[in-house]
Amino acid sequence: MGYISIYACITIILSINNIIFYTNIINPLFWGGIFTYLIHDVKHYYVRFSSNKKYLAYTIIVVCVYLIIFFYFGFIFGFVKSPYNHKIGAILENFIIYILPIIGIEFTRFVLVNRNKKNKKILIFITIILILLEIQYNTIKNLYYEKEEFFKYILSNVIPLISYSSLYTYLILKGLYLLPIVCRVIHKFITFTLPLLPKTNWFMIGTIGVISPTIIYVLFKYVFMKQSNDIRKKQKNLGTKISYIITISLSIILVCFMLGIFKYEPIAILSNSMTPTFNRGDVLIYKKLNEDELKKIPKTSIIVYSIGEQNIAHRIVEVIKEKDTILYRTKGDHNNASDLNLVKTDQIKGIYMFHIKYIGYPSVWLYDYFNSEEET
Amino acid sequence: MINNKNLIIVALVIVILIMAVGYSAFATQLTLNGTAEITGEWDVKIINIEAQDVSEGSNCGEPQFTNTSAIFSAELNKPGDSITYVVTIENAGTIDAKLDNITFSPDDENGSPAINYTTTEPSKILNAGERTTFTVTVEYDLETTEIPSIKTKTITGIIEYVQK
Repeated sequence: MGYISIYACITIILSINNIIFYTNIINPLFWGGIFTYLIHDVKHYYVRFSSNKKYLAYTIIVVCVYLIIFFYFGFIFGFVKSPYNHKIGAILENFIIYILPIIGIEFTRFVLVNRNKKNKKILIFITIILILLEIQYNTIKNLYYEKEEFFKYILSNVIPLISYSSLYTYLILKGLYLLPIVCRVIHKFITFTLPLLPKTNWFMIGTIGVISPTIIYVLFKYVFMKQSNDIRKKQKNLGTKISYIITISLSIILVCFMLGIFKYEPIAILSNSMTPTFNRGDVLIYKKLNEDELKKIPKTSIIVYSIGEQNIAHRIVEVIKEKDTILYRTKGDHNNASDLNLVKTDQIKGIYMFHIKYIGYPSVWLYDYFNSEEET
Repeated sequence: MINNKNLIIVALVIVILIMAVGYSAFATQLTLNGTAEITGEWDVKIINIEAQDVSEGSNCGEPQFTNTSAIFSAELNKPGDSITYVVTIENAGTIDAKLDNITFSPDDENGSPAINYTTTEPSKILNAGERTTFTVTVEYDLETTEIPSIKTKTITGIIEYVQK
Protein backbone atom coordinates (compact mmCIF):
# COMPACT_ATOMS: atom_id res chain seq x y z
CA MET A 1 0.00 0.00 0.00
CA GLY A 2 2.99 2.26 0.64
CA TYR A 3 4.12 1.95 -2.99
CA ILE A 4 0.65 2.80 -4.23
CA SER A 5 0.51 5.89 -1.98
CA ILE A 6 3.90 7.09 -3.27
CA TYR A 7 2.79 6.44 -6.83
CA ALA A 8 -0.39 8.47 -6.18
CA CYS A 9 1.84 11.45 -5.24
CA ILE A 10 3.93 10.97 -8.41
CA THR A 11 0.71 10.75 -10.46
CA ILE A 12 -0.56 14.06 -9.07
CA ILE A 13 2.71 15.85 -9.92
CA LEU A 14 3.13 14.38 -13.42
CA SER A 15 -0.52 14.40 -14.40
CA ILE A 16 -1.04 18.03 -13.36
CA ASN A 17 1.53 19.02 -15.98
CA ASN A 18 0.02 16.67 -18.56
CA ILE A 19 3.34 14.95 -19.21
CA ILE A 20 2.56 12.67 -22.13
CA PHE A 21 5.55 10.45 -21.34
CA TYR A 22 3.89 9.68 -17.99
CA THR A 23 0.47 8.91 -19.53
CA ASN A 24 1.76 6.87 -22.45
CA ILE A 25 4.76 5.09 -20.91
CA ILE A 26 5.18 5.34 -17.12
CA ASN A 27 1.54 4.78 -16.11
CA PRO A 28 0.86 1.67 -18.29
CA LEU A 29 4.26 0.22 -17.31
CA PHE A 30 3.59 0.77 -13.61
CA TRP A 31 0.15 -0.84 -13.71
CA GLY A 32 1.41 -3.61 -15.97
CA GLY A 33 4.06 -4.32 -13.30
CA ILE A 34 1.44 -4.24 -10.53
CA PHE A 35 -0.71 -6.62 -12.57
CA THR A 36 2.17 -9.12 -12.84
CA TYR A 37 3.14 -8.68 -9.19
CA LEU A 38 -0.39 -9.22 -7.86
CA ILE A 39 -1.48 -12.01 -10.20
CA HIS A 40 -0.56 -14.68 -7.63
CA ASP A 41 -2.66 -12.97 -4.89
CA VAL A 42 -5.53 -12.45 -7.31
CA LYS A 43 -5.52 -16.17 -8.19
CA HIS A 44 -5.47 -17.05 -4.49
CA TYR A 45 -8.56 -14.94 -3.66
CA TYR A 46 -10.24 -15.86 -6.93
CA VAL A 47 -10.18 -19.58 -6.03
CA ARG A 48 -11.79 -18.75 -2.68
CA PHE A 49 -14.65 -16.83 -4.24
CA SER A 50 -15.15 -18.62 -7.54
CA SER A 51 -17.44 -21.18 -5.93
CA ASN A 52 -20.15 -18.52 -5.57
CA LYS A 53 -21.86 -18.82 -8.97
CA LYS A 54 -24.67 -16.50 -7.88
CA TYR A 55 -22.30 -13.54 -7.78
CA LEU A 56 -21.15 -14.30 -11.30
CA ALA A 57 -24.79 -14.20 -12.43
CA TYR A 58 -25.29 -10.82 -10.70
CA THR A 59 -22.21 -9.49 -12.50
CA ILE A 60 -23.59 -10.56 -15.88
CA ILE A 61 -27.00 -9.00 -15.08
CA VAL A 62 -25.46 -5.65 -14.05
CA VAL A 63 -23.28 -5.54 -17.19
CA CYS A 64 -26.29 -6.34 -19.42
CA VAL A 65 -28.42 -3.65 -17.76
CA TYR A 66 -25.54 -1.19 -18.17
CA LEU A 67 -25.31 -1.95 -21.90
CA ILE A 68 -29.09 -1.61 -22.32
CA ILE A 69 -29.07 1.79 -20.58
CA PHE A 70 -26.03 2.90 -22.61
CA PHE A 71 -27.79 2.24 -25.92
CA TYR A 72 -31.20 3.36 -24.65
CA PHE A 73 -29.78 6.86 -24.04
CA GLY A 74 -28.45 6.81 -27.58
CA PHE A 75 -31.90 6.05 -28.96
CA ILE A 76 -33.50 8.85 -26.90
CA PHE A 77 -30.92 11.61 -27.38
CA GLY A 78 -29.22 10.40 -30.55
CA PHE A 79 -25.70 9.28 -31.28
CA VAL A 80 -22.56 11.25 -32.06
CA LYS A 81 -19.44 10.24 -33.90
CA SER A 82 -16.72 8.77 -31.71
CA PRO A 83 -13.44 10.69 -31.84
CA TYR A 84 -11.35 7.56 -31.31
CA ASN A 85 -9.37 5.81 -34.03
CA HIS A 86 -10.81 2.34 -34.74
CA LYS A 87 -7.85 0.73 -36.46
CA ILE A 88 -6.56 -2.37 -34.66
CA GLY A 89 -3.23 -0.70 -33.82
CA ALA A 90 -4.94 2.33 -32.24
CA ILE A 91 -7.39 0.15 -30.26
CA LEU A 92 -4.45 -1.84 -28.95
CA GLU A 93 -2.60 1.37 -28.07
CA ASN A 94 -5.67 2.73 -26.23
CA PHE A 95 -6.01 -0.60 -24.44
CA ILE A 96 -2.42 -0.45 -23.16
CA ILE A 97 -2.51 3.25 -22.24
CA TYR A 98 -6.02 3.53 -20.77
CA ILE A 99 -7.48 0.07 -20.04
CA LEU A 100 -4.42 -1.66 -18.60
CA PRO A 101 -4.13 0.94 -15.77
CA ILE A 102 -7.82 0.30 -14.95
CA ILE A 103 -7.15 -3.44 -14.67
CA GLY A 104 -4.12 -2.68 -12.49
CA ILE A 105 -6.12 -0.37 -10.23
CA GLU A 106 -8.94 -2.89 -9.81
CA PHE A 107 -6.51 -5.75 -9.13
CA THR A 108 -4.86 -3.55 -6.50
CA ARG A 109 -8.23 -2.73 -4.94
CA PHE A 110 -9.17 -6.42 -4.96
CA VAL A 111 -6.00 -7.55 -3.21
CA LEU A 112 -5.74 -4.65 -0.74
CA VAL A 113 -9.41 -4.89 0.28
CA ASN A 114 -9.12 -8.64 0.84
CA ARG A 115 -5.95 -8.18 2.89
CA ASN A 116 -7.53 -5.51 5.11
CA LYS A 117 -11.12 -6.71 5.28
CA LYS A 118 -11.60 -6.02 8.97
CA ASN A 119 -10.01 -2.59 9.19
CA LYS A 120 -12.58 -0.01 8.11
CA LYS A 121 -10.16 2.94 8.30
CA ILE A 122 -7.66 1.26 5.98
CA LEU A 123 -10.47 0.41 3.55
CA ILE A 124 -11.45 4.08 3.42
CA PHE A 125 -7.78 5.04 2.95
CA ILE A 126 -7.42 2.53 0.07
CA THR A 127 -10.53 3.96 -1.62
CA ILE A 128 -9.25 7.54 -1.27
CA ILE A 129 -5.83 6.64 -2.71
CA LEU A 130 -7.44 4.85 -5.67
CA ILE A 131 -9.70 7.87 -6.27
CA LEU A 132 -6.66 10.18 -6.19
CA LEU A 133 -4.93 7.94 -8.74
CA GLU A 134 -7.72 8.40 -11.26
CA ILE A 135 -8.44 12.12 -11.07
CA GLN A 136 -7.42 13.98 -14.24
CA TYR A 137 -5.34 16.70 -12.65
CA ASN A 138 -4.36 18.34 -15.92
CA THR A 139 -8.03 18.87 -16.84
CA ILE A 140 -8.75 20.32 -13.39
CA LYS A 141 -5.76 22.65 -13.77
CA ASN A 142 -6.91 23.75 -17.24
CA LEU A 143 -10.46 24.41 -16.11
CA TYR A 144 -9.65 25.97 -12.75
CA TYR A 145 -10.01 29.56 -13.99
CA GLU A 146 -13.13 28.82 -16.02
CA LYS A 147 -15.47 28.54 -13.05
CA GLU A 148 -18.49 27.26 -14.99
CA GLU A 149 -16.56 24.49 -16.76
CA PHE A 150 -14.77 23.61 -13.53
CA PHE A 151 -18.13 23.24 -11.75
CA LYS A 152 -19.42 20.99 -14.54
CA TYR A 153 -16.25 18.90 -14.60
CA ILE A 154 -16.26 18.28 -10.84
CA LEU A 155 -19.93 17.22 -10.89
CA SER A 156 -19.69 15.09 -14.00
CA ASN A 157 -16.31 13.42 -13.40
CA VAL A 158 -14.97 13.69 -9.87
CA ILE A 159 -18.21 13.09 -7.92
CA PRO A 160 -19.13 10.00 -10.02
CA LEU A 161 -15.54 8.75 -9.61
CA ILE A 162 -15.93 8.99 -5.83
CA SER A 163 -19.34 7.25 -5.95
CA TYR A 164 -18.15 4.41 -8.16
CA SER A 165 -14.88 3.90 -6.31
CA SER A 166 -16.70 3.64 -2.96
CA LEU A 167 -19.15 1.17 -4.51
CA TYR A 168 -16.38 -0.99 -5.96
CA THR A 169 -14.62 -1.23 -2.61
CA TYR A 170 -17.93 -2.23 -0.99
CA LEU A 171 -18.68 -4.87 -3.66
CA ILE A 172 -15.22 -6.44 -3.38
CA LEU A 173 -15.57 -6.44 0.38
CA LYS A 174 -18.79 -8.42 -0.06
CA GLY A 175 -17.21 -10.90 -2.46
CA LEU A 176 -18.34 -9.49 -5.81
CA TYR A 177 -14.76 -9.50 -7.01
CA LEU A 178 -15.48 -9.52 -10.75
CA LEU A 179 -18.09 -6.80 -11.06
CA PRO A 180 -15.90 -3.65 -10.81
CA ILE A 181 -13.26 -4.82 -13.26
CA VAL A 182 -15.74 -6.24 -15.79
CA CYS A 183 -17.95 -3.11 -15.74
CA ARG A 184 -15.03 -0.73 -16.08
CA VAL A 185 -13.22 -2.63 -18.82
CA ILE A 186 -16.42 -3.10 -20.87
CA HIS A 187 -17.31 0.59 -20.51
CA LYS A 188 -13.85 1.72 -21.70
CA PHE A 189 -13.69 -0.93 -24.40
CA ILE A 190 -16.99 0.06 -26.02
CA THR A 191 -16.02 3.74 -25.75
CA PHE A 192 -12.84 3.05 -27.71
CA THR A 193 -14.27 0.64 -30.27
CA LEU A 194 -17.79 1.81 -31.17
CA PRO A 195 -17.98 4.25 -34.10
CA LEU A 196 -20.98 6.01 -32.54
CA LEU A 197 -21.53 6.95 -28.92
CA PRO A 198 -24.68 8.22 -27.20
CA LYS A 199 -24.98 11.99 -27.17
CA THR A 200 -24.44 13.14 -23.63
CA ASN A 201 -23.90 16.27 -21.62
CA TRP A 202 -22.29 16.90 -18.24
CA PHE A 203 -25.61 16.79 -16.38
CA MET A 204 -26.50 13.38 -17.79
CA ILE A 205 -23.04 11.93 -17.11
CA GLY A 206 -23.01 13.37 -13.60
CA THR A 207 -26.47 12.23 -12.53
CA ILE A 208 -26.03 8.74 -13.99
CA GLY A 209 -22.66 8.61 -12.26
CA VAL A 210 -24.28 9.26 -8.90
CA ILE A 211 -27.61 7.48 -9.21
CA SER A 212 -26.41 4.21 -10.74
CA PRO A 213 -23.81 3.40 -8.03
CA THR A 214 -26.51 4.12 -5.43
CA ILE A 215 -28.96 1.76 -7.19
CA ILE A 216 -26.34 -0.97 -7.44
CA TYR A 217 -25.46 -0.45 -3.77
CA VAL A 218 -29.12 -0.72 -2.69
CA LEU A 219 -29.72 -3.79 -4.86
CA PHE A 220 -26.77 -5.68 -3.44
CA LYS A 221 -27.54 -4.49 0.06
CA TYR A 222 -30.94 -6.15 -0.46
CA VAL A 223 -29.33 -9.31 -1.86
CA PHE A 224 -26.94 -9.57 1.09
CA MET A 225 -29.79 -8.87 3.52
CA LYS A 226 -31.86 -11.68 2.00
CA GLN A 227 -28.96 -14.06 2.45
CA SER A 228 -28.55 -13.01 6.07
CA ASN A 229 -30.14 -15.11 8.82
CA ASP A 230 -30.43 -12.22 11.28
CA ILE A 231 -34.18 -11.42 11.44
CA ARG A 232 -33.71 -8.21 13.48
CA LYS A 233 -31.25 -6.90 10.92
CA LYS A 234 -33.73 -7.78 8.15
CA GLN A 235 -36.54 -5.79 9.79
CA LYS A 236 -34.24 -2.82 10.44
CA ASN A 237 -33.06 -2.80 6.82
CA LEU A 238 -36.60 -2.86 5.45
CA GLY A 239 -37.24 0.76 6.48
CA THR A 240 -33.94 1.91 4.99
CA LYS A 241 -34.71 0.03 1.79
CA ILE A 242 -38.02 1.89 1.41
CA SER A 243 -36.32 5.28 1.94
CA TYR A 244 -33.71 4.34 -0.68
CA ILE A 245 -36.35 3.32 -3.20
CA ILE A 246 -38.31 6.55 -2.67
CA THR A 247 -35.19 8.77 -2.89
CA ILE A 248 -33.80 7.02 -5.97
CA SER A 249 -37.17 7.01 -7.76
CA LEU A 250 -37.66 10.73 -7.09
CA SER A 251 -34.08 11.46 -8.22
CA ILE A 252 -34.60 9.54 -11.47
CA ILE A 253 -37.89 11.36 -12.14
CA LEU A 254 -36.24 14.74 -11.44
CA VAL A 255 -33.30 13.98 -13.73
CA CYS A 256 -35.57 12.73 -16.56
CA PHE A 257 -37.70 15.87 -16.12
CA MET A 258 -34.63 18.14 -16.31
CA LEU A 259 -33.27 16.27 -19.33
CA GLY A 260 -36.52 16.74 -21.22
CA ILE A 261 -37.45 13.09 -21.54
CA PHE A 262 -41.06 13.92 -20.62
CA LYS A 263 -43.43 16.12 -22.61
CA TYR A 264 -42.98 18.88 -20.02
CA GLU A 265 -39.65 20.53 -19.22
CA PRO A 266 -38.56 23.21 -16.73
CA ILE A 267 -36.34 26.28 -17.13
CA ALA A 268 -35.22 28.78 -14.52
CA ILE A 269 -36.10 32.41 -15.31
CA LEU A 270 -32.96 34.55 -15.20
CA SER A 271 -34.36 37.98 -16.14
CA ASN A 272 -37.35 40.21 -15.39
CA SER A 273 -38.32 40.73 -19.02
CA MET A 274 -41.71 38.98 -18.49
CA THR A 275 -42.68 40.72 -15.23
CA PRO A 276 -45.45 40.72 -13.99
CA THR A 277 -46.45 37.41 -15.66
CA PHE A 278 -43.47 35.69 -14.06
CA ASN A 279 -40.28 36.98 -12.47
CA ARG A 280 -36.59 36.30 -12.19
CA GLY A 281 -36.11 33.34 -9.86
CA ASP A 282 -39.32 31.53 -10.91
CA VAL A 283 -39.26 28.18 -12.67
CA LEU A 284 -41.31 27.96 -15.84
CA ILE A 285 -42.76 24.67 -17.04
CA TYR A 286 -43.27 24.44 -20.79
CA LYS A 287 -44.84 21.83 -23.01
CA LYS A 288 -42.98 20.54 -26.05
CA LEU A 289 -44.80 20.79 -29.37
CA ASN A 290 -44.84 18.63 -32.48
CA GLU A 291 -44.19 19.97 -35.99
CA ASP A 292 -47.85 20.74 -36.72
CA GLU A 293 -48.40 22.45 -33.38
CA LEU A 294 -45.28 24.61 -33.91
CA LYS A 295 -46.93 26.21 -36.96
CA LYS A 296 -50.21 26.91 -35.20
CA ILE A 297 -49.18 28.71 -32.02
CA PRO A 298 -51.74 31.48 -31.41
CA LYS A 299 -50.79 35.12 -30.88
CA THR A 300 -50.37 36.13 -27.19
CA SER A 301 -49.00 32.68 -26.27
CA ILE A 302 -45.74 32.60 -24.36
CA ILE A 303 -43.11 30.46 -26.07
CA VAL A 304 -39.72 29.19 -24.99
CA TYR A 305 -37.14 29.43 -27.77
CA SER A 306 -33.40 29.24 -28.05
CA ILE A 307 -30.71 31.48 -29.53
CA GLY A 308 -27.43 29.62 -29.45
CA GLU A 309 -27.21 28.15 -25.96
CA GLN A 310 -29.54 30.71 -24.41
CA ASN A 311 -33.21 29.97 -23.74
CA ILE A 312 -35.73 32.81 -23.86
CA ALA A 313 -39.40 32.82 -22.77
CA HIS A 314 -41.31 35.69 -24.43
CA ARG A 315 -44.84 36.37 -25.67
CA ILE A 316 -45.82 36.15 -29.36
CA VAL A 317 -47.02 39.58 -30.54
CA GLU A 318 -47.28 38.83 -34.26
CA VAL A 319 -47.51 35.74 -36.43
CA ILE A 320 -45.88 36.26 -39.85
CA LYS A 321 -46.61 33.87 -42.72
CA GLU A 322 -44.04 33.88 -45.53
CA LYS A 323 -44.83 31.29 -48.24
CA ASP A 324 -44.52 27.98 -46.40
CA THR A 325 -42.64 29.30 -43.39
CA ILE A 326 -44.12 30.68 -40.19
CA LEU A 327 -42.18 33.28 -38.21
CA TYR A 328 -43.10 34.71 -34.82
CA ARG A 329 -42.37 38.19 -33.52
CA THR A 330 -41.89 38.07 -29.76
CA LYS A 331 -41.67 40.57 -26.92
CA GLY A 332 -41.10 40.46 -23.18
CA ASP A 333 -44.14 41.80 -21.27
CA HIS A 334 -41.86 44.16 -19.36
CA ASN A 335 -39.94 45.34 -22.46
CA ASN A 336 -40.86 48.44 -24.46
CA ALA A 337 -39.91 47.01 -27.84
CA SER A 338 -40.23 43.69 -29.63
CA ASP A 339 -37.25 41.34 -29.85
CA LEU A 340 -34.82 42.13 -32.68
CA ASN A 341 -34.91 38.76 -34.44
CA LEU A 342 -37.96 36.86 -35.61
CA VAL A 343 -38.29 33.35 -34.17
CA LYS A 344 -38.29 30.36 -36.54
CA THR A 345 -40.22 27.21 -35.68
CA ASP A 346 -37.02 25.18 -35.35
CA GLN A 347 -35.88 27.52 -32.56
CA ILE A 348 -39.00 26.91 -30.47
CA LYS A 349 -38.66 24.49 -27.59
CA GLY A 350 -42.21 24.68 -26.29
CA ILE A 351 -45.16 26.66 -25.02
CA TYR A 352 -45.60 28.06 -21.50
CA MET A 353 -47.90 26.04 -19.25
CA PHE A 354 -47.38 27.37 -15.73
CA HIS A 355 -44.69 28.62 -13.39
CA ILE A 356 -43.57 27.99 -9.81
CA LYS A 357 -42.48 31.00 -7.83
CA TYR A 358 -39.02 31.45 -6.29
CA ILE A 359 -37.68 27.89 -6.65
CA GLY A 360 -35.32 28.89 -9.46
CA TYR A 361 -33.36 31.31 -7.28
CA PRO A 362 -30.45 28.93 -6.58
CA SER A 363 -29.93 28.65 -10.36
CA VAL A 364 -30.10 32.46 -10.70
CA TRP A 365 -27.49 32.92 -7.96
CA LEU A 366 -25.22 30.36 -9.55
CA TYR A 367 -25.63 31.96 -12.99
CA ASP A 368 -24.90 35.43 -11.52
CA TYR A 369 -21.87 34.09 -9.67
CA PHE A 370 -20.29 32.55 -12.76
CA ASN A 371 -21.12 35.52 -14.97
CA SER A 372 -19.72 38.04 -12.49
CA GLU A 373 -16.53 35.92 -12.37
CA GLU A 374 -16.28 36.06 -16.15
CA GLU A 375 -16.72 39.84 -16.21
CA THR A 376 -14.03 40.56 -13.64
CA MET B 1 -27.45 11.68 14.61
CA ILE B 2 -27.41 10.76 10.96
CA ASN B 3 -26.42 7.15 10.45
CA ASN B 4 -24.41 5.88 7.47
CA LYS B 5 -27.43 4.83 5.41
CA ASN B 6 -29.20 8.15 5.82
CA LEU B 7 -25.95 9.92 5.00
CA ILE B 8 -25.89 8.24 1.59
CA ILE B 9 -29.49 9.31 0.92
CA VAL B 10 -28.74 12.90 2.00
CA ALA B 11 -25.53 13.00 -0.09
CA LEU B 12 -27.38 11.67 -3.15
CA VAL B 13 -30.17 14.23 -2.79
CA ILE B 14 -27.71 17.11 -2.31
CA VAL B 15 -25.57 16.16 -5.31
CA ILE B 16 -28.60 15.72 -7.58
CA LEU B 17 -30.03 19.07 -6.45
CA ILE B 18 -26.71 20.87 -7.07
CA MET B 19 -26.58 19.35 -10.55
CA ALA B 20 -30.21 20.31 -11.23
CA VAL B 21 -29.54 23.90 -10.12
CA GLY B 22 -26.39 24.05 -12.27
CA TYR B 23 -28.20 22.58 -15.25
CA SER B 24 -30.95 25.22 -15.01
CA ALA B 25 -28.41 28.00 -14.60
CA PHE B 26 -26.39 27.11 -17.67
CA ALA B 27 -29.37 26.05 -19.80
CA THR B 28 -27.13 23.73 -21.74
CA GLN B 29 -28.72 22.01 -24.68
CA LEU B 30 -28.14 18.50 -25.89
CA THR B 31 -26.81 19.65 -29.21
CA LEU B 32 -23.11 19.05 -29.06
CA ASN B 33 -21.77 18.33 -32.49
CA GLY B 34 -19.33 15.61 -33.31
CA THR B 35 -17.96 14.12 -30.19
CA ALA B 36 -18.91 13.27 -26.65
CA GLU B 37 -18.27 15.43 -23.58
CA ILE B 38 -14.80 16.01 -22.25
CA THR B 39 -13.23 12.92 -20.78
CA GLY B 40 -9.76 12.94 -19.32
CA GLU B 41 -8.02 11.51 -22.34
CA TRP B 42 -10.00 13.14 -25.16
CA ASP B 43 -10.28 16.87 -24.72
CA VAL B 44 -10.05 18.70 -28.04
CA LYS B 45 -12.16 21.83 -28.13
CA ILE B 46 -12.49 25.43 -29.25
CA ILE B 47 -11.31 27.61 -26.38
CA ASN B 48 -11.53 31.13 -27.75
CA ILE B 49 -12.80 33.30 -30.61
CA GLU B 50 -11.46 36.79 -30.95
CA ALA B 51 -12.55 39.43 -33.48
CA GLN B 52 -9.65 41.33 -35.06
CA ASP B 53 -9.38 43.98 -37.79
CA VAL B 54 -12.97 45.14 -37.36
CA SER B 55 -13.78 47.88 -39.90
CA GLU B 56 -15.12 51.12 -38.47
CA GLY B 57 -18.88 50.99 -37.93
CA SER B 58 -19.01 47.21 -38.21
CA ASN B 59 -20.28 44.99 -35.44
CA CYS B 60 -18.56 41.68 -34.74
CA GLY B 61 -21.33 40.48 -32.36
CA GLU B 62 -20.51 37.96 -29.69
CA PRO B 63 -19.26 34.78 -31.37
CA GLN B 64 -20.67 31.68 -29.69
CA PHE B 65 -18.98 28.32 -29.58
CA THR B 66 -19.27 24.81 -28.21
CA ASN B 67 -16.47 22.26 -28.17
CA THR B 68 -16.69 21.67 -31.92
CA SER B 69 -18.86 24.39 -33.41
CA ALA B 70 -18.71 28.16 -33.74
CA ILE B 71 -21.29 30.75 -34.77
CA PHE B 72 -20.18 34.13 -36.15
CA SER B 73 -22.74 36.92 -36.63
CA ALA B 74 -21.22 39.91 -38.41
CA GLU B 75 -22.82 43.24 -39.27
CA LEU B 76 -21.08 45.12 -42.09
CA ASN B 77 -22.32 48.48 -43.40
CA LYS B 78 -20.59 49.25 -46.69
CA PRO B 79 -18.57 47.58 -49.46
CA GLY B 80 -15.02 46.89 -48.37
CA ASP B 81 -15.88 46.45 -44.68
CA SER B 82 -14.55 43.29 -43.05
CA ILE B 83 -14.10 41.46 -39.75
CA THR B 84 -11.55 38.73 -39.05
CA TYR B 85 -12.31 36.20 -36.35
CA VAL B 86 -9.40 34.22 -34.91
CA VAL B 87 -10.49 30.84 -33.54
CA THR B 88 -8.23 28.96 -31.12
CA ILE B 89 -8.50 25.18 -30.68
CA GLU B 90 -6.70 23.33 -27.92
CA ASN B 91 -5.90 19.67 -27.39
CA ALA B 92 -5.84 19.51 -23.58
CA GLY B 93 -6.22 15.73 -23.52
CA THR B 94 -3.57 13.05 -23.77
CA ILE B 95 -4.43 11.70 -27.24
CA ASP B 96 -2.93 13.16 -30.43
CA ALA B 97 -5.59 14.35 -32.86
CA LYS B 98 -5.97 14.93 -36.60
CA LEU B 99 -8.45 17.14 -38.42
CA ASP B 100 -11.36 15.05 -39.68
CA ASN B 101 -13.90 17.58 -40.87
CA ILE B 102 -14.21 21.33 -41.19
CA THR B 103 -17.31 22.85 -42.74
CA PHE B 104 -18.82 26.32 -42.81
CA SER B 105 -22.44 27.06 -43.63
CA PRO B 106 -23.61 30.63 -44.11
CA ASP B 107 -27.24 31.50 -43.36
CA ASP B 108 -27.97 32.77 -46.89
CA GLU B 109 -31.73 32.79 -46.33
CA ASN B 110 -31.66 35.52 -43.68
CA GLY B 111 -28.27 37.11 -44.39
CA SER B 112 -27.01 39.70 -46.84
CA PRO B 113 -26.09 38.25 -50.27
CA ALA B 114 -23.33 40.90 -50.53
CA ILE B 115 -21.43 39.54 -47.55
CA ASN B 116 -18.94 36.74 -48.28
CA TYR B 117 -16.46 34.89 -46.17
CA THR B 118 -13.07 33.23 -46.50
CA THR B 119 -11.34 30.91 -44.07
CA THR B 120 -7.91 29.48 -43.34
CA GLU B 121 -7.45 25.91 -42.11
CA PRO B 122 -6.31 24.92 -38.62
CA SER B 123 -3.38 22.49 -38.24
CA LYS B 124 -4.18 19.07 -39.67
CA ILE B 125 -2.35 17.44 -36.76
CA LEU B 126 -2.95 18.62 -33.21
CA ASN B 127 -0.84 16.68 -30.77
CA ALA B 128 -1.68 16.45 -27.07
CA GLY B 129 -0.98 19.73 -25.31
CA GLU B 130 -0.85 21.79 -28.56
CA ARG B 131 -2.95 24.69 -29.76
CA THR B 132 -3.83 25.82 -33.27
CA THR B 133 -5.64 28.81 -34.73
CA PHE B 134 -7.50 29.55 -37.92
CA THR B 135 -9.30 32.62 -39.19
CA VAL B 136 -12.73 33.36 -40.61
CA THR B 137 -12.84 36.65 -42.51
CA VAL B 138 -16.25 38.12 -43.30
CA GLU B 139 -16.18 40.75 -46.07
CA TYR B 140 -18.65 43.07 -47.73
CA ASP B 141 -18.24 42.52 -51.50
CA LEU B 142 -16.35 45.52 -52.97
CA GLU B 143 -18.02 45.17 -56.35
CA THR B 144 -21.58 45.32 -55.07
CA THR B 145 -23.58 47.95 -56.89
CA GLU B 146 -26.85 47.49 -55.02
CA ILE B 147 -26.77 47.90 -51.26
CA PRO B 148 -29.18 45.37 -49.69
CA SER B 149 -31.20 46.43 -46.64
CA ILE B 150 -29.92 43.43 -44.64
CA LYS B 151 -26.44 44.11 -43.35
CA THR B 152 -25.79 40.99 -41.34
CA LYS B 153 -24.67 37.44 -42.02
CA THR B 154 -24.40 34.45 -39.71
CA ILE B 155 -21.90 31.69 -40.44
CA THR B 156 -21.78 28.40 -38.58
CA GLY B 157 -18.57 26.39 -38.55
CA ILE B 158 -18.10 22.78 -37.52
CA ILE B 159 -14.55 21.69 -36.70
CA GLU B 160 -14.06 18.04 -35.81
CA TYR B 161 -10.84 16.34 -34.80
CA VAL B 162 -10.42 12.59 -34.32
CA GLN B 163 -7.69 10.45 -32.82
CA LYS B 164 -4.56 10.42 -35.02
